Formats: sequence, structure tokens, C-alpha cells
Amino acid sequence: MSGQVVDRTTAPGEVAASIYDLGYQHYAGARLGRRAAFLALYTESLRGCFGLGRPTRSKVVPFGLLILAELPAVIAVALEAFLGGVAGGRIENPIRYDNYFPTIVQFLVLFVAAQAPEMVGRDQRYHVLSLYFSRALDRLDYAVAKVVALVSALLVLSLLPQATIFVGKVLGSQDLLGAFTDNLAAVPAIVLSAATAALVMASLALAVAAFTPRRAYATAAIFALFYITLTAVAIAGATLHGDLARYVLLVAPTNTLEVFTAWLFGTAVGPELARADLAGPDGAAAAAAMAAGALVVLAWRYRGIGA
Amino acid sequence: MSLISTRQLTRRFSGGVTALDALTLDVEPGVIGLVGANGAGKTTLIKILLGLLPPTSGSAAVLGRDVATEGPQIRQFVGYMPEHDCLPPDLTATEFVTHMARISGLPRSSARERTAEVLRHVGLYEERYRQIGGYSTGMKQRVKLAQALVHDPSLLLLDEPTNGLDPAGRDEMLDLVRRTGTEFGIAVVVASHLLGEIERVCEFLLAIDAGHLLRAAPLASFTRQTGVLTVEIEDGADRLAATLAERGLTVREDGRQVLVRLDDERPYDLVRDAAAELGLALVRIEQRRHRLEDLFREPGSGDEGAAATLAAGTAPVPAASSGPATTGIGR
Repeated sequence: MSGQVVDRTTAPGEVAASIYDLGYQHYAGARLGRRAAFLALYTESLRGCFGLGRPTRSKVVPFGLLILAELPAVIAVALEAFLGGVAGGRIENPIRYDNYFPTIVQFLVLFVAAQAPEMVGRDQRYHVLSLYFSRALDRLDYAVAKVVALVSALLVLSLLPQATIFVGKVLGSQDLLGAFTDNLAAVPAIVLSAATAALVMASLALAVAAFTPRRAYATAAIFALFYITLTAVAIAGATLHGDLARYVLLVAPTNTLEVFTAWLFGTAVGPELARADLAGPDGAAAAAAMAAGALVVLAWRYRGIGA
Repeated sequence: MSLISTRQLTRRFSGGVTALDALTLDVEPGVIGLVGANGAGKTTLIKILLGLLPPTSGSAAVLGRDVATEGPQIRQFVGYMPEHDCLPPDLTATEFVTHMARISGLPRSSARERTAEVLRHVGLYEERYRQIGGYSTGMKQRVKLAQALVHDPSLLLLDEPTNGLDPAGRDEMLDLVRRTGTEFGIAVVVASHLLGEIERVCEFLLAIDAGHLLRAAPLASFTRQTGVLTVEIEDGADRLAATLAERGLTVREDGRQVLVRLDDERPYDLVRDAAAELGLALVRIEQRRHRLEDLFREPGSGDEGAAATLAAGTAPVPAASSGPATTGIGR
């Protein structure tokens, strides 16, 4: 590099400014196409979800919620050590794998309400979509990359604390190997419930957020989707009769996820849902229907969106 | 292989607006100007070529590939600079252009290298580490051009690249566009309603109006056929017109102006001599090439409606605009 500069300066008749003007270089390297474009968008969206590569203020909410979601796990590990040692195992730890989702579900809702609008509304607000869609991506790739990125972010939020509990339990036990195998049995249920919750929440939130470039509107609409439905179905459940009164409760996404999670872990649901006596497969079907419906809406939105 | 080829390309919007009407054209690589008034269909054509909009009917091919079926493959080799703002304000130019390079399919390290190079090329140096939100319009236009060039496309589609720029900024942007086309051998399509700008950078012109192709020809052939000399004098336009007509020029009087058909260099001398003989005060002699109606009027074509619409879209139109007057001269 420096050799080049010396050569150019010593060349007779060369003006000084041309030292730096190496001219336009054509690119002869690899063009990795659609798959690479998809991965790049996914990575960027996931990073953006936590405010990485963005100004500090963009990191406050996602990392704040990550800490809040992690906090109960840290408490659980501390309690485990305390209960195991001082109380001699007579009192059960109140924070467990099976009730972790209900414990942090509020933080997950806050997270999607804050970050889903940022994830898709931003590109609409600043008209970046036309740049994406005029590249190696197509519209559906874009939507799928965003969903997968938000699902991944939610998995971080919900699995990191579970992993903390897991490590805490194993390391806190006398018999490391035995504790490891014991706890391993809970892993499929943990992963399946977290993955389902992440998919349902991410696709619902993005399907709502994709309809407006305005962040405040999108955030409000996502809150409405998760909280107003909860109240609405409670009222509907109390007014209606028969099976309808029971199944209407599944219209609220958090109810559905609670039923599904309780079924996976074989635990009991909250009193209201317990009265409705909903079966686990009902929760699974409702969750699948919600995710599928939201993904169809999202695909439809991005097929027709002006770019 | 054609750079761009369309067959009966039609696009209707809901509400009955026809943006493109059975447009058929073949364009060879080069620096191509796409001119037309606002609403003529320039942006619609570009968006169809990029696959951003589906055509209502007809077909289009870019770099020999069908836009409808091979969109993502084509778009790895096409760069697009939209007319509108398209930059997130909270990223730096480097971050944004690198990201766009990766979305174009470049590996991470190449994306970084190309970004540094292309930002230097468009004239952004230390500013490239600052957030785009703090940039001037001129700098933003440069970032828009950089993101379109970063993956070294074979075809660059620029939609009104000088929008919102001051005169100095326009000159720099046009110079960049011209160099991109001529020095780097990238085919460029520049859409603009300002013919004066297109004329400075393009070799080939496509004129569209109301979704129809008006003309497609090398720039040289436009100017050669239809040059018009505008002579503005203080008083006595009628006498000058009469004298020039006697001497065998095709002229038309238009208020204080005399319009002279310009086939060769001869009229310049004749105008000077006639003005001197008649003792008239010459204000201005100008070759009127900045007006679309002068350029697109083929002698005897008589398509006045289209020319009038186009003229409405040109910026540097002198006060005494007169489409029909020129028509008279052309005939």
C-alpha cells in the first residue's frame, strides 16, 4: 500500500491529489444471493432488537427488560442455595421451570410492544423498504427474517433465565451428574413452551406493527391485543354460557399460552382458567391458529405494501 | 443482449390512472436519460424494472433476465437510488451502506471494504462515521448513491438524483453520475424532468409521456435535428424577422423574440449582420436546447399535446415559452 503511494508521488507529471484517487474498483468477489441477504437482515434485525449497533438510548428498554426477566432466575438460584442449606429442603422454591413463563410473561409482552414496532415500523417510517426489495431479497423473505429475529430475541429473554436456573440447580447440588440428568428431563418442555410462546407473541406483535410506521400507535395496538383481549374474554366468559364461555378465554393470547405451558409441564393453570377446564390440546390448537393467522396477515401485508 | 427490454408493458393503478401504456422499448448499455414530466411514468417504469411493482400486463427484462421470474438474481446486479428519502437517521453512513452491501449478497469483509471505497468515491470522508440524521441534503444524496453503487452493479437506476440539491451540489452529483457511467463502465439510467441536466451526462435519451414512449434516440440526433436559436432584441423584432427571412432562414416572430431554425452555424453570422445593418439592440442570442419541445419535435411530427405536457415539466423554461412557435419553425 505505502509502496504504491511512493511510486505515484515519484512519477513525473503526477499531481499530488491523485495519490489518493485510486479510481473506482470493480468488485469481482462472491455474490452470495438471497440466502446471505436473508441472514444479513436477520442478524441486523436481531441486533437491532437489543439496540446493538444503535445509539445507547435504544439499548435501555430491551436490556432493562432482559434484566427484569433474568432477575427472578437469579433470585431462584439464590433461594435454592439458601433453602437447600439453611431450610434443609423442606420449603419448595417458589420460582421453578414450570411457572417461569407466567412469572415473566408481562416482560415479554412489554418487549414485543416496544421492539416489534421498532423492527418493522422503522423501515416503513424511513422508507427503507424500497432499498430492501430492490436487492436480492423478496418481500416474503423480509417478513420471515423479521419474525425469526423477534422469535430469537424472545427466546433469549425466556431461555436465558431458565438456563440460569438450570446451571444454578446443577452446580448447587452435591451430585453434579445426577442433578444434570434430573434437570435434563425438564429441558424439552422448557424449550417447547418458550418456542411456542415466542412464535405466537412475535408473529402477533409483528402482524400488528407492520400496519403503521408510527411507533406509538403500534405499541398501543400491541398492548391492546395482549391486555384488552384478556379483560374482554374474562367478561365474555362470565356472560356467555356453555362451551362458548370456556373456549372464548382462549382468544386472549396470554391465556392460550398459559394453558399450553401448564399442559407441557403438567401443572395447574390460574383459578379463572382452571374453572374453564380447558384441555392442553385446546391450548396447542389455539396457539397454532394464532401464529398461523398472524403469519398469513403479515405475508399479506408485505405482499401488498408500497415500496 | 439488451440492457433493458420491455414488451407492451402496461401498469394501471387502482383509480383508473394508467402510468404506463403498452410501452415497448429496447435499450443498449450506456448512460441513458429517462425524461418526462412529473407523472409521465418514469418512476413506475423504474419500479417495474426493479420488481418493486408488478406490471398489469406485458413483460420486462433487465440484463437479459425476466423481471417477473428472476427478480432476486437480477437485483444482485442492479443498484437503485430512489427519489424519496430512504435513510434511517440513527445509523452512520458506514453502518448503513455496509448493511445494504450485505443485503445485496456481499460477504461481510467485502461489504466493509466496498463501503469504505464507495463512500470515498462519492466524496464522504470523516463524516461517514457520523449519524445520517445530521447530514445535509447533499450528503444524504451521496449516501443514497453510495448504497446503490456499493455492490458494483451492472446497471444503476437513478430516480431524480439531483432532487433538492443546490446548483453546486447538482454539478457534483451530475459529475459523479457521468463518471460512474463513462469511467467505470456501469450502465446508468437517470430519470429526470430536467432536460438540461440529462443533456449534460447522457448519451442516449428515452422520452416518455403519459406512459407512452415519445422517442428513443442518441442525444446527438436530438440536438442536431431541431436546434432553435432564440434572438431577443429591444425593439424591431418584426424588421429583423423580415430581413432574416429574405436571406433564406426559417424564422418566426414571437413578441420581442425571433426564433430562428438552426441547421448549421450560418444563422449566427446572419443574425449579427442583420442586427448591425438595421441598427437593432441585441439583448441575447441563445441556442434553445433546454426545452423539451425543441428536442422532441421531429420536423412535421405534429404531436403537440405531448410536447406541451413535456414542456410543463422542464425547469429552465424562459418566460416567453411557446411550443407552437417552435412547431412552426420545425415545419
